[in-house]
Amino acid sequence: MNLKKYFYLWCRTTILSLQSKLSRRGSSVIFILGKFVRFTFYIFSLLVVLGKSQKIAGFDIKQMINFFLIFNLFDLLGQFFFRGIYWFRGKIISGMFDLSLIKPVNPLFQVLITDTDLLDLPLLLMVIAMLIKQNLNISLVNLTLFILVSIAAFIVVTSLHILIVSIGIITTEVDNTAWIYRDLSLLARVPVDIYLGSVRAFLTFVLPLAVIFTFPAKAMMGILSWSWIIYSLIFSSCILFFALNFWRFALKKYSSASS
Amino acid sequence: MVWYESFTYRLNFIVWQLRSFLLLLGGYFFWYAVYRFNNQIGVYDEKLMLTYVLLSSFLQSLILTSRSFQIAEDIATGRLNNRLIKPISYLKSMFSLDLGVKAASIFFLFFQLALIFIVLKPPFFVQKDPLQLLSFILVSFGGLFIYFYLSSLISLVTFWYPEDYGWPARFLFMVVNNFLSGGVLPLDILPVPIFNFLRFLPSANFIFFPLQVYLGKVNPSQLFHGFLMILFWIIVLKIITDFTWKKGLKNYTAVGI
Repeated sequence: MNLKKYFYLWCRTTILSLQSKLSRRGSSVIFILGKFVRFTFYIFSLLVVLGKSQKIAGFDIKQMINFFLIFNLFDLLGQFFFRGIYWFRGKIISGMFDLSLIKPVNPLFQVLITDTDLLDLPLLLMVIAMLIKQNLNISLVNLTLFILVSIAAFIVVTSLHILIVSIGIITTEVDNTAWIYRDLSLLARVPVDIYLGSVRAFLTFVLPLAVIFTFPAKAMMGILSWSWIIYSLIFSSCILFFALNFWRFALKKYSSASS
Repeated sequence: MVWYESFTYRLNFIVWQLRSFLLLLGGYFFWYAVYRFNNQIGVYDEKLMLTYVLLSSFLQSLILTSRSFQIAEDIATGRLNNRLIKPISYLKSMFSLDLGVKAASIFFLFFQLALIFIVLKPPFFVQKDPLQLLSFILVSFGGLFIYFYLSSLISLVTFWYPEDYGWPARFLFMVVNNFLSGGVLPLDILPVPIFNFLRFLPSANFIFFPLQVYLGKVNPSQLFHGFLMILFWIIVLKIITDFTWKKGLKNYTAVGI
């Protein structure tokens, strides 16, 4: 794969996306404002609840805020890069996806990241700044582990988005699979450790929200065991392999019905 | 009509219901987990909080489920023309549509709640005082009217600002309303000065105040005051909505056609 070509293409489409947003300045400002308001309300609510409670599952306020910030980091990264999947169903049922298939560019690349949502960028930067401020004293080992587990987490996020678009091709009727992922991911605003055993197991082994949201935060705080680090690396590789194969399978099912 | 529409795209409808079920479960599991490590949060023990969470899903179906966002789409796309030439009041017909959506939502919520009660067996506060129950129903229907007028008002902004089919204003409204209505957490858990301000806003009548009535946390004097507030907001918002509708129609150019 020609990385330089793909990077150039991503830059071009991102600039086009920015121009599109700038042509609707009022809407863009309101959307950004809404995202900040939602973030502020949730972190305020979390502080209120934690202020009135003892430690939850052994985590204090600072740790819980870390979990919340990491949740926002990966949630926003997913939306920032993969916003295009929210409009993918329209391309499938209208047959416009044909136009992606005939271009000399990987169709999965086009579907996933040619609609970067720059409206998420301001909040993403603020979350990163807050994370840095919260963790100025992080050790080099913890930072290295955090980066390693974060890479695994982002691979899982990417794989889940690939699975979502693949399901979109096969079913054509479902346009809110992505929202199911978003709704379920809200469970991971807090560490999955606080949930009952069966829920925790589901969020670790079936829908791997723990790998995406809880493990990087724990790695950053130096409380993630080696077995979970190895698990997250193996799991991310397996799910990426499965997602890419499922994508190829789904592409064969695409009927180009409306074109 | 709403029911026919829902069952035309069955899989989509099922996935939509699944989403609402997951959100309900998410809220339930979060608070359940919090109470595994704490006996009391503010004035709520586990039983009261889980009752609040489960009943707030009912109020979301009854009050916050709405088709009033369609008003914005009708204005932005010019579809409003088709509605205006019919010999029925547009806003009243939207209200009828609203009731249909609410009925469908409550019908399916019943199965979701039944599943939760059968499988998870949550501790649940049952209000036995018929007067409190009657008050709860009346207050909830008051909230329903307030929400319809407030939500319609947000949609009517599209007369002057049709960009993105009125969705930006709707998004901001949903984000703010989710918190101010008590949908995220009960408002009386918040610091007292903030609570004292928020409880007078119309949004407090969507989830928070009706549930205070159900949970028996409101004395007769507060209940009477609450009824007056609801009446006040219904009248004020109806006047503003009617006024904005008339003004907006004069501004309407059917630009989407």
